[in-house]
Amino acid sequence: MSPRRICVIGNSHLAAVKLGWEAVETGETEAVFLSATGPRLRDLAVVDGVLTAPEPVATLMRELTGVSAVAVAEVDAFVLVGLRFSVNRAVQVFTTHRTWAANDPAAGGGAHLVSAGCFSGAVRNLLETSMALILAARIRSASRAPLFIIPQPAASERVLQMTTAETAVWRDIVRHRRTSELNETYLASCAAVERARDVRVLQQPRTTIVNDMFTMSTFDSPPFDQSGKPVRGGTIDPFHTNGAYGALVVAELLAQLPATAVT
Amino acid sequence: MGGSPYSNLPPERFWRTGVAGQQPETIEGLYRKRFEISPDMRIATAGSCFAQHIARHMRQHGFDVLDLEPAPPGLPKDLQPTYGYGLYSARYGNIYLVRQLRQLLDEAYGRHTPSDAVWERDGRCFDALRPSVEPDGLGSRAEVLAHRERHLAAVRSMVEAMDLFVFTFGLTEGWVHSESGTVYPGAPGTIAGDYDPAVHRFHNFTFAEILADFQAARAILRELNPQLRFLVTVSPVPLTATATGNHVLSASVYSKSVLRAVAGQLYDECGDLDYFPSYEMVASHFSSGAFFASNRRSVTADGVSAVMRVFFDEHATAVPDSGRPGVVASTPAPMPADDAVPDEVCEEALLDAFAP
Repeated sequence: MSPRRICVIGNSHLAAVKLGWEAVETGETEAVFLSATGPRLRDLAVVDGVLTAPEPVATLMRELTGVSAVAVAEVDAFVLVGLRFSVNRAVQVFTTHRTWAANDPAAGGGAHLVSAGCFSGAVRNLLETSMALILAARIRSASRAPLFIIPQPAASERVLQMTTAETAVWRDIVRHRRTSELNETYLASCAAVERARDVRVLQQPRTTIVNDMFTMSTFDSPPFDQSGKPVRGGTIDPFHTNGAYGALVVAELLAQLPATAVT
Repeated sequence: MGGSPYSNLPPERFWRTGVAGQQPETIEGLYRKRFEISPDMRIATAGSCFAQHIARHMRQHGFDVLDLEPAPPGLPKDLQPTYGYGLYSARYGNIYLVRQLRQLLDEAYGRHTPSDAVWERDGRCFDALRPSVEPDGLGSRAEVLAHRERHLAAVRSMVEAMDLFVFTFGLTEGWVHSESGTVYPGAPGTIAGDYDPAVHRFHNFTFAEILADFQAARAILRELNPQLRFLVTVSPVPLTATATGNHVLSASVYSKSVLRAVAGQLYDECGDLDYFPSYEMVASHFSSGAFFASNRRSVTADGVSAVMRVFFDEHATAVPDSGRPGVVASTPAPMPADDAVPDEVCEEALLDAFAP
């Protein structure tokens, strides 16, 4: 039996998945990784049956993972990691616009009040226009292989102890008891996206989540310097996860992959 | 002394040179600004459907059109008007009647409490004073009132921030809560609520009422914002339906004539107010109906462009997105190729859906 071959594409959140891939028994499954940081993967496209990007992104990808091009027909499943597909899109909307809650009439604070329908429409569209779904559409135009999305993890629970202006919204969410509402809105949007776009969203493992929408701090990514080396005592990044998290995600992915290779 | 008082008048004062010899797309001298509208002025817009076009074009030309209730990040552009976003400077929806404007300002500053302000439909609750901004309504009366409270705060912020208030007169016909006089933007039962002849009555506002309402609204605004200036227009869009008992064409011409007369009276009485003749451009026989779509009601994109060209010939400003910094712009940005401009939101169109 030939091994299953998957193509895993992602931004910085791919790191945890790659570490997880190395930590678990992957059996008869081979993975190729395509990655570039920031928005550079926007240039990724299928050209003559090959998923690749023009220079200089191709060189960057090659330097990062050793791969800069993948023949689409040779892939049994595609996996998109991170790429701004996340419960944080609900947080993004909540920053400026909030729904009214009968038990918390002051919850709007300085934000604008919106209806639940309007709020969820905004969240869904942020997911629909995320890099993950932009790339999903490009892949779909060339392949019917299963397409999975591994969302960016929820923010670490550690974010609640931070006092920066950028992290204030998470404290607000907890103070106003909106975690459940935001998570439900996000999950409903994911379900709608799955139906509309022929993709499968592998939700964050429940065992990694606390308080509906925070990642347990045991899964925080350690601090790194600019060369990628761990820094002892550095500031924890509350938005990225470690290899232990990646291992849980990879195990779930392997369980969901098609049983046999189709290529 | 001697000669005619008409001698030596400029060409636009004579029909032959001012109209017969002109094309609607290139007419000159139809509008002379009373005061400068500069790019640093903060502009607020309100009124009937046609005001949406004015706001959009002013934004495209780099004018600072206020938006006190912006759409949530991510809400698709095509969904924003459905929720009343981006149409005007706050989410009040269409303000067809001057009485509505006066009532909104009175309410915002605690001088009026509307009656029968929450309507229901299929278990959902709607703000009767702007029922179109939440297409599916809200979950409870309390939620509607909370949203309204926040909306009124946005209106107050707008009033205190704006330097110019652009208002488009739309209708004279309206629906009123009989006991209190509260006016609604549409007939009860159209979007939500129930029409009850014992509670609601039809009223066709008169010249005197409309003039008094605008002067009252202007007084409120000037009291709070003494430097404020006004730009008024009359919507050229005819009525979708009339409740007067007259033919809709007669009713429409009557309404627009009253509104045009009020605008003229205001121009004569108020030095802080300018009148822009969009109505004349589109609805008079000068343009031979060329700026109306095939339904003879909707204004085409070309019509809006022609109207706004006349406006920007007088109020030219830099277009920040044009890539031509500092260039004086009098050419409107391209409009959609559709016959009728697709983005306007008129709940009046619902009346058409109820028509036999």
